[in-house]
Formats: sequence, C-alpha cells, structure tokens
Amino acid sequence: MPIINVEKTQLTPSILLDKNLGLVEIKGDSLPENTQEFYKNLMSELKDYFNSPQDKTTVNLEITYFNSSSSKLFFDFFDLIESASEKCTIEINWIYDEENESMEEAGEDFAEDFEALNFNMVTK
Amino acid sequence: MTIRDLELQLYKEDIIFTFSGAISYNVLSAISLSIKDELSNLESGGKQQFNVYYVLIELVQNIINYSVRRGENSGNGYGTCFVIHHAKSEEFKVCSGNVVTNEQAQKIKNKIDKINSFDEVELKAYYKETRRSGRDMHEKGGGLGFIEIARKAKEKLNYSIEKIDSDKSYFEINVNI
Repeated sequence: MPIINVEKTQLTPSILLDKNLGLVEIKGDSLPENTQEFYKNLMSELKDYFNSPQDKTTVNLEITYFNSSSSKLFFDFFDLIESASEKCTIEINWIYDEENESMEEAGEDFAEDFEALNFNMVTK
Repeated sequence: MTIRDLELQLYKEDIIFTFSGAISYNVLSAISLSIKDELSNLESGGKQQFNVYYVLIELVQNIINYSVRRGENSGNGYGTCFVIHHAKSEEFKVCSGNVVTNEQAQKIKNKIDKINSFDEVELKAYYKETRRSGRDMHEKGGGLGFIEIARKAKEKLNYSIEKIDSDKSYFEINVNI
C-alpha cells in the first residue's frame, strides 16, 4: 500500500503516509478508544516503508493534544524512525501553536529521548 | 432535595462540571466537548486549562478501563467525576471516584505512593523510564496515566481507597491544578 490517508475526527488525528514522497504526517488531537489498534496500520506500513525508504523522509507532527497511551505509542513511533535513521535522511518537524506550552514541552521531551534524530521545533 | 437545590449546591461548591453514571467512549467524547466549552468561558491561563482538560480525560479513561461495571453485560465503566474552579484563588480541582477490585486498588496504591515519593526531577526521569521500557505496559495503555497526572498537578496526588467488601473497594482521587 503506497498511501495511508486517514481523516481527522474530534478525538483522533489525521494520518498521512505517502511512501513515494517519503512523507509522514499526523495532525490533531490523539485520544483514540484503542490507541494500539488506531495506529497499527501506520506502524506496520511505516516499518515496511523503511525497508526501502526514499533518500529523504519528512515527518510532520502537528499534534494539539495526546493522552498518555498515545505518548507511549509516539515513543515507539520515534523508536522505529530512529532505527531507520542510518538508511536515509530523516527530518522531523514538531509543529505547535506558540501558546500551547504543553505541546512545546512534549516535543522537547521526545527530542531529549531521541538525540540521534533531527528534531525541529516549529512554531506556527 | 429538588433538582434546583442540587444545582445550587453544585454552584456553591464551585463545581463547574460534573458527570456521574455509565461512561463509554462516546460519553468520554461528549465530556471532552463539554469541558472544553466550559473552560473556554474562563479567564485562566492556557496551560492551566490544558492541564485541567488533560487530567479529567485521563481520570475518565481510568473509569472506563478499571471501574467495576454495573450490570453483567455493560461494556461501560461506571463512576463520578467533577471539576471545581475556585475563581478567586485561580485553583482547579479535578476529582473522580469509582469502584475497583481489591486487586486493582492495591496496584493503584503502589503506583500512586511511588509517584508521590518523587520530586519533580525524579518524576520526569520515572516517566521517561516507564515510557522507554514499556514495563508497565498493558492492553489499555502504557501505564503512564497517573505519572502524567502527577506531572500536571500542583501538589502530591491526594487519594483514598475504602474497602467495600472482600472483592471491591471505592477509589477516589483529587488533583489540584
């Protein structure tokens, strides 16, 4: 499957994975009923993508709120990306509203945990 | 007591939001909308409001996942939650209560006592370690809920567990924000 495209709902984010463009995007609130289940497809397709990634992969994350089980999921998401970081150039953009201090801190927490990743803190 | 008396009582206690009853994911979704709406009318700061929302949602998810259900066939949790806002002191309290099994009560006690023994720096380290190791991972989440709640609270987590019978206890928690 070259593309995953999930639309945003009140409590779940939009998800885009375009293997031809080397693009991953997650945008919105993350409070799924079952977090593992909700992200299962993305995680397995992303793993598949990193078997033969594009020269450059861009990851845009514009998450406005995430619950504690999503926090664990995103950790595993970054872990997967980090394990592929020697195969291709990966740029991660953690995009947050200037007034949303909590999302700024959450991004910094992840950046601290994944020092090998190129983590850009981007305000909008 | 009339409904109006009850509503006046809630008002007197500075309770700006409350829900008591069966809680499913759909109810959680409605609670999310309702509390966001309620908070948007207040003048408190963005981070404090975010934390109130965050803690309420985590507590409600705990009710869904861990409360002892009423009725054999119900897929819902059952419990009570409320948010108090003392406008003058700019303080919020987010509270919840529900019935849990005694086994679950012991797990909650161990977890919260451990969390309460940490200072801010230790708590952050514990959070990161738990997230990285996946040690407290279970089918419902990453075992991070109470740690996140504690990181967003102004004071130590204030909770009580009261034994109901040989199977069940009543768990309640009161988080100052």
